Amino acid sequence: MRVIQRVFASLHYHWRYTTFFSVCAVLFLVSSLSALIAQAIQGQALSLFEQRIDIIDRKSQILTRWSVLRQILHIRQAMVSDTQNIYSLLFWGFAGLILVLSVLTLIQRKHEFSIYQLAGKNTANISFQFALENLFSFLIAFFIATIILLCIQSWYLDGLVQLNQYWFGQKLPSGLKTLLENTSDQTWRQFNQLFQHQFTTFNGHLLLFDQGNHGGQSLADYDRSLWTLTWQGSALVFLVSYLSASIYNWWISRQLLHSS
Amino acid sequence: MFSFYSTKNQNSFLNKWQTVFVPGQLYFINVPLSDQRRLVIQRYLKLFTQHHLHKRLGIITTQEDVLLPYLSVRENILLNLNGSVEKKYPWQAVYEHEFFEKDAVDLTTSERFYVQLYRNIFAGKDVILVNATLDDYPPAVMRAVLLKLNQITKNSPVTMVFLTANQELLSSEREQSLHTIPFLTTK
Repeated sequence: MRVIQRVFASLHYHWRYTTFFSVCAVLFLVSSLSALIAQAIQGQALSLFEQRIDIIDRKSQILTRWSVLRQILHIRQAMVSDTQNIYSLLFWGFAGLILVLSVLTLIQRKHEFSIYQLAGKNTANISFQFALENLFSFLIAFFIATIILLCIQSWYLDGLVQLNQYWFGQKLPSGLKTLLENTSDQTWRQFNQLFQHQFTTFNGHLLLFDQGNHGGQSLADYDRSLWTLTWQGSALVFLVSYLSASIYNWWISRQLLHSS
Repeated sequence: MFSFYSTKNQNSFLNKWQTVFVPGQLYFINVPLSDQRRLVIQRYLKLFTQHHLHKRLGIITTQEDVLLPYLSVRENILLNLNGSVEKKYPWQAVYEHEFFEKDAVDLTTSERFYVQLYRNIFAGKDVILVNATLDDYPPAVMRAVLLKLNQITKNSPVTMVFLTANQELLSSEREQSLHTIPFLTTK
């Protein structure tokens, strides 16, 4: 496959661009994976909270009686939605970054593309090669970043759990913050009435503030997030690079034909 | 082969073209100035593009940077390899040049000429427009180039159209020399 040989020769020759692109890809991967894992943690906490509410009262009437529970539910739902928004923002931000980088490097490599056109290569072939260059840079960066994350996975995942806990604490209104910090408050006595004549494996504190158990987890537990990032990132890189290169090469061919 | 474009117009244009430039022949057109030669090539490219035949037109220029610096000379030649041409005209047939071992940036003018020539041959081009005076070539190299061009046109149906200001060349190849530029109304 001559095109693969040309892709790697070009990546090696344009090593500054390749390195910069790969660093951007690594940053996108780590931040997006963190957003997806945070979404999974918050989603799990929300579902745990809903399950526990269901155990206490199957008809969920307590939600209407207890404003504290309604507040927690809204906070948890907002956090799941926020993580989704953060991922979307990172994804489209990365799309914009690839577009800017592609346009800049296309302008810089204008003469190189003219040589391909002089050799008789058509726009589709040249654009395909350019898109493959960016795709391979992305996949290599992805592979390296995944290996590094696997090596530090326990530290990375613990950090994310703590960050989520901190974020949840920051989201709580002052009344709930006081409740989180004081275990012997009058409000707790009032709130624990909820568990009268109930036998549950959790208490009021766990019901409100428990994020779920994330101890001993590994990156393998988030393989779906990794696959999502692989195919969505690869498709994004390939499409943005291919389309920008196609338009630019079409413009070069028109220029070659019309300039005097 | 399937085409989105009307083959009637394409065939009509090709028939006209081939009555002037017979396939498997080498032609010389007198174009004295380098800007004129560039313009003539551009007009011919436009003409072929209008008939959706630009894929069949190869161009050899005097530009110095016509090679990709990150590819070997061999890979530069085989940049747009056409599989069926490779079978008819094996790579070994041109495997006699020492410059294949050189770096792309170290090639001389005549070596760059050969690279472009073989690149167009292996890409399966039917018509090759050559913009070269050959003035700066040593006489032995110039003879070798002409010999190679004659050899290629004899062995394959490629039409070579040589745009040159070299009067010696035009007078020595009088039978194949043209002093007007076919298909173009103005220079």
